[in-house]
Amino acid sequence: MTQTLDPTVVPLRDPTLLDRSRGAARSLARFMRGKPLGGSGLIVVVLFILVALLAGVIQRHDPDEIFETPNPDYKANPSTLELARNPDIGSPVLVSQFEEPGGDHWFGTDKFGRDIWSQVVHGARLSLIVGLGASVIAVVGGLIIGMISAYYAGIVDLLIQRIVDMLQAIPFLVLVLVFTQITERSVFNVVLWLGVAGLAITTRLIRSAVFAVRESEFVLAARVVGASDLRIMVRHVLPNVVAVLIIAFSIGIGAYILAEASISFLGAGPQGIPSWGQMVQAGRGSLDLHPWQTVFAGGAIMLIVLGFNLLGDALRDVLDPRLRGA
Amino acid sequence: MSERSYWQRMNRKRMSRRGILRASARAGVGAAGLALVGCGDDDDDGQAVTQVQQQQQQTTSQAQQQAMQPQQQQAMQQQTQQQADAQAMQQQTQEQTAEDQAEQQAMQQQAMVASTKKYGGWIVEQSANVYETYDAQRTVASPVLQVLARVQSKILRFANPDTGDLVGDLAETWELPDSTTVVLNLRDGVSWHAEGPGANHPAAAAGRALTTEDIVWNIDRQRNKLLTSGEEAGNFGRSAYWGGVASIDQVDNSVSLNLVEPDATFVQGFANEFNLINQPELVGGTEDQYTEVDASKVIGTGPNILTRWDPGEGISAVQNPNFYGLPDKPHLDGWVWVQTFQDPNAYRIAFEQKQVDSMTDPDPNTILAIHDDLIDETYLTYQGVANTVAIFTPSNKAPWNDLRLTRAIDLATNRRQLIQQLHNGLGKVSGPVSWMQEAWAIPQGDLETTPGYRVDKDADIEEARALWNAAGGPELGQIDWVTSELWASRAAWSATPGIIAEMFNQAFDTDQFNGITKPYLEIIPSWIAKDFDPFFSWIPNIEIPDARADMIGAFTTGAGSNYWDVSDPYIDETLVAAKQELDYETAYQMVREVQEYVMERGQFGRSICYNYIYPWIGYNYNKIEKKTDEEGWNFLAVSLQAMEHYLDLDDPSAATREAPSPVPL
Amino acid sequence: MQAYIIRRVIGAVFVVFLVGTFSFFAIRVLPGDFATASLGLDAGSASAENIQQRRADLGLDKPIGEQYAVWLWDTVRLDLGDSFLTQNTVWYEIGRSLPYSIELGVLIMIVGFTVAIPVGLLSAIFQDKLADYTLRGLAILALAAPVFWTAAIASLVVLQWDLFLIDVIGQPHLWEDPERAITWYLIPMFAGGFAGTATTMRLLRSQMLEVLRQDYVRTARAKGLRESVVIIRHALRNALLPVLTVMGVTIATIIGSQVILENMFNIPGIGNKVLTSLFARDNPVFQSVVLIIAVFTVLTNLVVDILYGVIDPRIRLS
Repeated sequence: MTQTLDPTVVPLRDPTLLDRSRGAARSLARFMRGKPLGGSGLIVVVLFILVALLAGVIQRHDPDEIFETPNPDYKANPSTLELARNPDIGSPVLVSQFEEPGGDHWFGTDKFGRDIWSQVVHGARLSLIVGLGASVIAVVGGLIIGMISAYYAGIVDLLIQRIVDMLQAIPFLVLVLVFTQITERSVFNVVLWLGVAGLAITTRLIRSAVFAVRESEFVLAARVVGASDLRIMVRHVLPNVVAVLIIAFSIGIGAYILAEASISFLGAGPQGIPSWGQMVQAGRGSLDLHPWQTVFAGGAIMLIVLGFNLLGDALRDVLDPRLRGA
Repeated sequence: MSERSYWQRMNRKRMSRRGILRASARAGVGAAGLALVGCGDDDDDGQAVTQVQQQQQQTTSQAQQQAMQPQQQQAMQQQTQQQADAQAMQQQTQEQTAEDQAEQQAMQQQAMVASTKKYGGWIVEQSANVYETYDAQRTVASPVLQVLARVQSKILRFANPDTGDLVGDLAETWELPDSTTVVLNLRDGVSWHAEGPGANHPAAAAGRALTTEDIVWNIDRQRNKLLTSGEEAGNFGRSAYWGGVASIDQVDNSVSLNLVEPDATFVQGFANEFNLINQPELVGGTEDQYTEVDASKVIGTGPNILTRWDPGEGISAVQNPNFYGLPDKPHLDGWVWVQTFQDPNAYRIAFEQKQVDSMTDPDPNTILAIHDDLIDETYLTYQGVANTVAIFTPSNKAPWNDLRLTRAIDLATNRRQLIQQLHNGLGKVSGPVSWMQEAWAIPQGDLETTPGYRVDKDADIEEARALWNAAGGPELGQIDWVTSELWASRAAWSATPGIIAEMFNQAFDTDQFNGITKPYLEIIPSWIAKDFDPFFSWIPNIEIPDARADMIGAFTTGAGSNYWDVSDPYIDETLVAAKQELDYETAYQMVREVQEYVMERGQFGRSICYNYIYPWIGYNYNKIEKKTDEEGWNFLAVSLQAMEHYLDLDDPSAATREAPSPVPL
Repeated sequence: MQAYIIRRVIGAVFVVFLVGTFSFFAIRVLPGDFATASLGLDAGSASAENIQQRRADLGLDKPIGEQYAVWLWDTVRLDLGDSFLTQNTVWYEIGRSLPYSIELGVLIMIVGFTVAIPVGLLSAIFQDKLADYTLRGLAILALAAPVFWTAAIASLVVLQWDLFLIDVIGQPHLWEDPERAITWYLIPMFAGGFAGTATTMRLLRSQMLEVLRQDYVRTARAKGLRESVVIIRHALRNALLPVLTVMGVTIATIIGSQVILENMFNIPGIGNKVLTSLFARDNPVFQSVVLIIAVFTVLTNLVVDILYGVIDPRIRLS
């Protein structure tokens, strides 16, 4: 149907564009030089991956830890009016709310007396797990379904295509919201459902690429020499759609991270782990007085999505022959 | 010095409120009490009169103070002084300073200002989103009341919802000839709305005078749970309360209710906001469509006439020209409710740009920030929230039926820390009876040394940890602590699941606790099946200021809200006796003993934590009725607002917006 | 040709049927239903009887197969039922909310285009130069920033400096009160428009790069035409066509995807309806609104497909 309109779907000639023989380091250097935007995206992504991996080391504090200080102003038995005039008098121990960035708390503390820096650092874990995990699920699922679709063609293909059409006819965020509400909202489930919601796009991308390769001369040649369908798929078609897989993988990550942030913002995200979307929402009420939580969490979302998008764009430029060399 | 005297002045104020409460608690049974709340009852029996005289003798030493009181308050003050405990009383008399006099003068001046209330104007507020029915008797959801309590009347209403002070509404006066009889003398000249969509409904009897039959019909349908079709309906929310009526007699313009058993809490129930009086013709005639909310099915005898009720779009009401309180009350031309803002920032935008006249937000910081921005134009009011926040442990099933574990949880619950984290300190800890039910609660000072509430939290935690370890808590594996999604959906509280889990993890030095959220959709069925997960949330347990009903509902064998299957002969006997006890002091002692008994057992898993205080912000022109300058009411007081609310359009802050365009009559 | 069109129409109808079935079952698979949702806060006093009564009132106690059959038959007859929440007919709800979503969707597209066209153009002309990197970087940055974040900060700025009225209550249409309507839509339309810029801009840039390498452009240059004329008359016109087509298809999706912005600014549009009906388990509204969005999307795709089929015979065979 509409795949003809998708600019990313193009027949591919030679997929091994990042020349393996020269060594990874040199092609990386060439990539950085040739694609400065993509290169900076790569740096951002690598930084975030490091932060996520080392979260336990650089966190400085447990993200759940609640900081308190003794309250010298504590007064027993306060009245409503006294509390209204000075809400702090009611508790012998004060939660360290809304501390400014600096000192022991690099990014300050939130309303609950927790360290924002450690939450942002741990939020990177969730975002990366969500982005990469959902993308892997979507690409692997899309590959399997796309291959089946192209392999069997006919009625199976038609049915799969209609189901894909169905998923695409429902707004992505709505789909994700519905899916994630079905099961308990653990990180694993949210990642799984995001990947499932993303299946429509990857299936469509991969299917058309498989179709294109299937019609190419070397596949016809393999068929002539009597190779089985399965063998053709695995040995000839698969290596030739790797570039599309990489594109499909990389362009989705940013979208999944944003989708997770969005549902967390709406209060329907994964539970039990610091989430940037949820932090933006939590800090929004007092944005003008205590902007730090919202600013840092929102900034982190923007930065990581930016990194993945830049990288994905550059990869597509490199892997997409229509734009290559232009 | 100034702070100290300020503190003591506050203390005195609280004391007097407490005294009023005690007085009104007696109002349930004795005419002396009724005289105090000013309902103009003439049928004093001898005993009550002597009581008053005795009190006067006892309190003559405080004549100096009485001289400064308006007459009505004088009598109340006397009782206050008499009943307050000795130490506080002493302190109080010592603190009769010039400052106090000045304050009381200020209060009198305020009262004079209040009498110059202005008339006219429209108020715009946010409405709720879901209205499941227009029949208040068949719902347990309070948003309906925000609309209906301005349109319909009750038998009595609260003059002061916190103390339980009553005034007549449809019944002008009431009498209590003996401990099981209540006589209601209906007000003359009350008629059903003569205009508006409801009056135009074919089934309605527009403009008809109110009769005793109307009252009887309303009580009968609720206590018998019967619809006019003869069908039984299970959803009469107050059927248990009205079931306390054994029979009804009508004499002239009076209705006499004979109670099944002596019930000292019964009269307050007339003023329960849910107990609105429906018109038999209209509500009875549309019972088959009772879930289809629409202005045309609503008729009342109240100060306003509903002109529009389109949930999600708009609701409006205009002044009832035939209301019995006119020309004094109500003051406003009408009300407009705009649809709910799903996003707190949209609400804020609407308020800051004067598209609505008032605002509340779960996050006090938001309200304070707005007030800082608009310091000259707005004022703050703090009001208690009757939805009590609690930690629920399913003590009716393993492993929590080991009360050591339940008590460990109760002890480890860091109530003051939660108030800090979730409400910025705006809240007070509550025992089994909420602090808002002041006449019945254990005083805050006493709670400070009660295990679970101790100021020295380390002692609580040490005890909790010992119990936890002794009962095999560490072997329980992962424990999911549920927070309702509705609670966590508010930005200010969104981190609640995490901080609850962290609170217990820190207390027990473990990482077993894990915070999750679930929607009410899942939670409610599990509660009904009494198979619920450990839970943190609010419960709407308070409907009237008298705490006995709530305690009986939660802790007596087989009671409606006893989700923990508590069955303890001592509690059963004591609470039932307390309910029938006519003497306040005795009843209070009984309830207090039960509270202490319950607290020693980890509150049986119903670990009441606190009631928080909500900041409410309004523009200076928006004159809402409140307790004091800054303090609002603890309890839902819609009917009070319907009568007393007014707009001062001469105030510099007055909105320049055009009058909203409600559906005209 | 006729066979192709028929095939496509049947396919489209089937997809709409699938979406309807999906949304019908999705909202029922979710835990809980409207009967319990509407009791909300008052969980403590809700009784089994109460909930059972509510369920019977709403017809939720019937077996799911029966509900499905009833729904299917009603939907075929274009009877979408009544909202549980507001008790209005679903058609009324859709008729009320759709114009808002279309307004916002169109405004977002206008903003997106106004920004994307010059940016895409410049970035293609100055390919791989600093201007290209900067513009593309900014566009991708706009795509990366969560709309709820930018919109929150923008509305804070407006409130803080009292810049203009955001009429979250009056909810005026553009044709009723243009001034109030536009100030109300201003933040969401820019937040949404900027976010969508990157896609359009990227597409335009790649199309431009391709067109600029075409022979007729080279010929035009060789003829000595001024560079601006070459770019605007020859290159842009040809590059824009596919971009416009793609955007035309996405308008349907845009209408359904402004969920967060509509929610934040109290815009009673379709996206908001999806959200409220989903959270409140308002089955009739949810399933119908999702269906309507799907019908829009499928219909635009169908028209585009058929037009393409008319233009390019090769497509018909695929």
